[in-house]
Amino acid sequence: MADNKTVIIKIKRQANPDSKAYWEEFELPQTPGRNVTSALMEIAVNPVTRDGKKTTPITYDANCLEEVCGSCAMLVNGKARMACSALLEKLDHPVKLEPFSKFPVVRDLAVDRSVLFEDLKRVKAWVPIDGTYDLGPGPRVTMQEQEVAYPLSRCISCCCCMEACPQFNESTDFVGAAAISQVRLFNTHPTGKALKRERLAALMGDGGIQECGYAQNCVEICPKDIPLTRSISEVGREVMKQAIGDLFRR
Amino acid sequence: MTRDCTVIRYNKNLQQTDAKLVELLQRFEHINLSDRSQWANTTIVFARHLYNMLQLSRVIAQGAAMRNESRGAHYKPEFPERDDKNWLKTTKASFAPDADEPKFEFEPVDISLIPPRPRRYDVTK
Ligand code: SF4
Ligand code: SF4
Ligand code: FES
Repeated sequence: MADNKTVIIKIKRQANPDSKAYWEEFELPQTPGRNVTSALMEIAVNPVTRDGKKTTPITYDANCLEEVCGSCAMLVNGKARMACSALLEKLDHPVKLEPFSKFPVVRDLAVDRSVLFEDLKRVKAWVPIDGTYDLGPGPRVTMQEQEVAYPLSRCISCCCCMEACPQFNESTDFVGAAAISQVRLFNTHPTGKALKRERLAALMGDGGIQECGYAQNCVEICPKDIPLTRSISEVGREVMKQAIGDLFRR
Repeated sequence: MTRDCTVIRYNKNLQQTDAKLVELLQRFEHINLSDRSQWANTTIVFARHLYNMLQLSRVIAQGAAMRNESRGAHYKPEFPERDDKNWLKTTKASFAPDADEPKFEFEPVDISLIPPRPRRYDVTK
């Protein structure tokens, strides 16, 4: 950390989805324990750039401030991560903040990540119970199954894995690691299993699991340490099995 | 709020807190926005939250001031005991737009099934 008593933060800003991006620099007093989100709040208190120009507060997403809601993902010094768990004193300085590069910018650091929501719909990432009749007590889940499912269920839909993935881009239409991992989660759930075939089918073909080049960036970057490459290989095997089965059934 | 409206509560401080909140609500009338743009303006969202937070803070400060007892996690050194005779009730607050301040009601707690007893940690029940 720099020796002087301030921190310099460079922020890539953009007024709206169609306008051009520009950079602004801010200088804040050093405060122990401060994270990137709280630095953005501090800038909002007195939005003046380092060279004394009055500007507007930065627009960014944040909610829980404890790395569980997944809303505050951005590029911090070029790396996809959650702003609320990025402590300024642990970062290289000056700190550089940018919006995600593979998602449309809404304004400043806020981007539109609804593509993940669409991907989760595409793979039916839910347990199919419609609540129209009483199903009785749910099936039992063994301790071993819980131990596999729990880490997968910790996904916060931050999209860091997709931002970091070399295969996630417009030309591939790849669903991304998070959605594939959710397929594994819901396919192992005793009630969720009912949609297993449909989920695997959704991962076949263009944009499906075959797009993955196994670069492992996703598992490196995931803030919740989800075993994404393990999920990809397990689901990949299932997709393959089903595809071959379908071939013979014709 | 953090100093005077958490676990340990003194009536005098609660009243001062409420007075301060009234002052802040008056200042809110002249609030300035550092961002006047029309798109994804988070400053205006925050300003609206602030008003709600001030009103809710009044609910907490006034509600606490009314209840002269110590109950659960809330401790009033001036009234160290739980007072079931007068305060075994739920505080209900609503917003009175005409008066621009919270309005309070109290609902007795249903104790028909289990009668309350003092909470003691030094003896077994
Ligand atoms: S292993 Fe690589 S290509 Fe596959 S999803 Fe992860 S980052 Fe993308
Ligand atoms: S898998 Fe990890 S990186 Fe990807 S969206 Fe979920 S929590 Fe974020
Ligand atoms: S604010 Fe919820 S994850 Fe950062």
